[in-house]
Amino acid sequence: MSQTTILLLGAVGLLGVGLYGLLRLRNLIQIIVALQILAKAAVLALVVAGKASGHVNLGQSLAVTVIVADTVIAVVGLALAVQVRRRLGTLDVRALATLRG
Amino acid sequence: MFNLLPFLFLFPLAGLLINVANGRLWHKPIAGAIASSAAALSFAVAILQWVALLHQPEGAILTVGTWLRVSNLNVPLAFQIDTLSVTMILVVTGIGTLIHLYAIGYMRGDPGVSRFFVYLNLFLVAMLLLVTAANYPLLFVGWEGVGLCSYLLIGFWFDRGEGGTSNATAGRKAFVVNRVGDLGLILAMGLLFWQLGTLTFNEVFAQATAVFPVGSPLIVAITLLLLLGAAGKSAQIPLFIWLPDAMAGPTPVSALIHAATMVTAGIYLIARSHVLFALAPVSQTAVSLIGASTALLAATVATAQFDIKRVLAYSTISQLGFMVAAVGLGAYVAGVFHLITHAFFKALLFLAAGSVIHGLEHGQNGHRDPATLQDMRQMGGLRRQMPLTFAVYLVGALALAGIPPLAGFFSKDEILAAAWQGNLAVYLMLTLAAFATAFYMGRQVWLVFMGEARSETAVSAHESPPIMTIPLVILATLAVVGGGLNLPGVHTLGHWLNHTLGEGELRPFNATVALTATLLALLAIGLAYWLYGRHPLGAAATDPLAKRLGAVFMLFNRRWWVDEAVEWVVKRPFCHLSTFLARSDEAVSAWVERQIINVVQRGTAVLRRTQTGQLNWNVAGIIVGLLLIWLLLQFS
Repeated sequence: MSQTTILLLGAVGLLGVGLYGLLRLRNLIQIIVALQILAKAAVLALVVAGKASGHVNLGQSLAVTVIVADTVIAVVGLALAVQVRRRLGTLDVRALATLRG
Repeated sequence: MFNLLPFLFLFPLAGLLINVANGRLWHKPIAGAIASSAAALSFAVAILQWVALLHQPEGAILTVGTWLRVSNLNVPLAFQIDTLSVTMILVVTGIGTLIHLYAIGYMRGDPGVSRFFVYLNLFLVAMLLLVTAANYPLLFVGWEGVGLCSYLLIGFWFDRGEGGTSNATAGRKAFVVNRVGDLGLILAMGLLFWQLGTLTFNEVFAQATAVFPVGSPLIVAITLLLLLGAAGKSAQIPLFIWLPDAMAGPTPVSALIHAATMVTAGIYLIARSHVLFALAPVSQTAVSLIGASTALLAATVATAQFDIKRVLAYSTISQLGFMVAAVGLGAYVAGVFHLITHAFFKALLFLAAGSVIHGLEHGQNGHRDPATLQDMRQMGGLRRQMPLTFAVYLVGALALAGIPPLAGFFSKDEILAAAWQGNLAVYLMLTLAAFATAFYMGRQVWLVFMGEARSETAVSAHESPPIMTIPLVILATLAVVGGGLNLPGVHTLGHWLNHTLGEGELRPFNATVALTATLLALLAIGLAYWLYGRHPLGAAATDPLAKRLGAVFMLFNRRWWVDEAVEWVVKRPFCHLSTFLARSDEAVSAWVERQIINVVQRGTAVLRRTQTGQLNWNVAGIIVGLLLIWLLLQFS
């Protein structure tokens, strides 16, 4: 099993953990953490893919870009979490639902 | 000079446009003057065409452009100038101009006078288009155009009449009844195009003789459908019921459209299509029988009416029956001759009746209720108040009754002579109708003008202004000398029309027929005198004819219950059927709507469950979607 395959499987593992977290978790802070794990899976996959295809620079620059975007996601998400906590008094996402389907 | 023909339409068109602007913007009392000058200029163009035709009697076809070209249907915007069409445009514009002039006086002070003259000029355009068109579709445009103007003008005083709506209803009735006839004309055109591939008159007539054997079912069908069209426009059995109601329009309209010109369109159509009718002897017999029975039926009804205009309306139907009978007998010259003389004296009679109504309405004790104004039982003795109107009315009545040497004698005699040779049943019916004609005219003259005034309104009546009486005098002159157009033995009109209608028979003078007709007319007038003249009708007295005829008078007075029969046999079942269909349609569409709503509602009830608003559900949706896309990419 080559190094690339192991690393890619690690990325898929991170992706799985992130998605599971998104499906399972109710706390908004925890959901943001799960989102971060998802983004890290993408970073890892980009770096590995860059190395495997020989475009190391390309892979790494994209990875840096994703880190920036990822930070923004975290910031906005946490800011929303603060607002949700202030208005609803809880961080449980079930309280956010207004539809009565 | 034939190139000047378009001006025939352009003058009235310009007149109506100016009057539209006048009615909307300026409100100057010039509508009548403009419309009349437009009509007069049109008449001048018509005279120019006549002069040109004298040098070149075979006529010409003036093609202005293409109107329709679809596959092998080619309909040019073309006008046919020949002796028949020029005769018609002379009558239409000539009589039209006089009636326009008269209408200036008659309509003075009416708030809608601009609108009135716009319609009147529009009518001239449409009628001229009808008689000059060189193919059936273009003729049909004019045909519908005059129908539209007729509708607009019958309902001109749409806020008057019984219940405030009866004038509008009369207009609608005319329109709807005419639709039945138009259907015949459209179907005939369709059959002609199907068989011949063309609708231009000259081509149709040239090919018809080669394509259709004499009496073949198709040509019989085509001519019978044309007859249906003619019956609608020219108020023949069974479609005549609209014309008496059309008298709701202003009297100049009754004179121009419903007596002199538009209603003769059916006779023109048959005369124009004479080649087709010659190929279908069965249809010719049908035409003459329908004409003769209409003539008789309407004449009997006219003897028992009390409304001055209604008598003239039934008289018009009856005289149109004479013309239709004539063209059915193949006596096209006689038919057109009677058309012309009838236009003279019937326009005269209507305008004179209008003068009577006008005089009563504007007298000291005048009022605006037309039912009373036009009731002959409320008149009497008007010869003193309205001497000029009386004189011209007398001329018109004698001309209509067929007293020599007035115009009606010559034209009616030609038709009777043709019937004598052609079909005895037609001759007998027409002779009886002629007898009734002389009688009801005598009755009318005695009721209206003789004896003593039977109401306050009649006492205070006065003579109409010169703008109205001058056209009357001109028309009276024409009604006297009009017979000179086609004197027996000379046949000016006959020779003239034969350039177009082919070498028709120029019938010699039939002394027996003429003498019989004249004696019968004199007898009828004598009878009218015996009933109405010896002892003038007193106020609120019963009609002496009603006393003597009893139930028969009732039958005539109620118009043979034709209107009621149509009401019960056609109108009511049709309305019930329509209501039923409308209701079933409503029921069906309501059911379909209900079903669609149910399906949508049930579907949404299911789908709604998935819309929880829970963040985790949304993520699950995204993941499932991604998986589906991935699967799709794998298997495609």
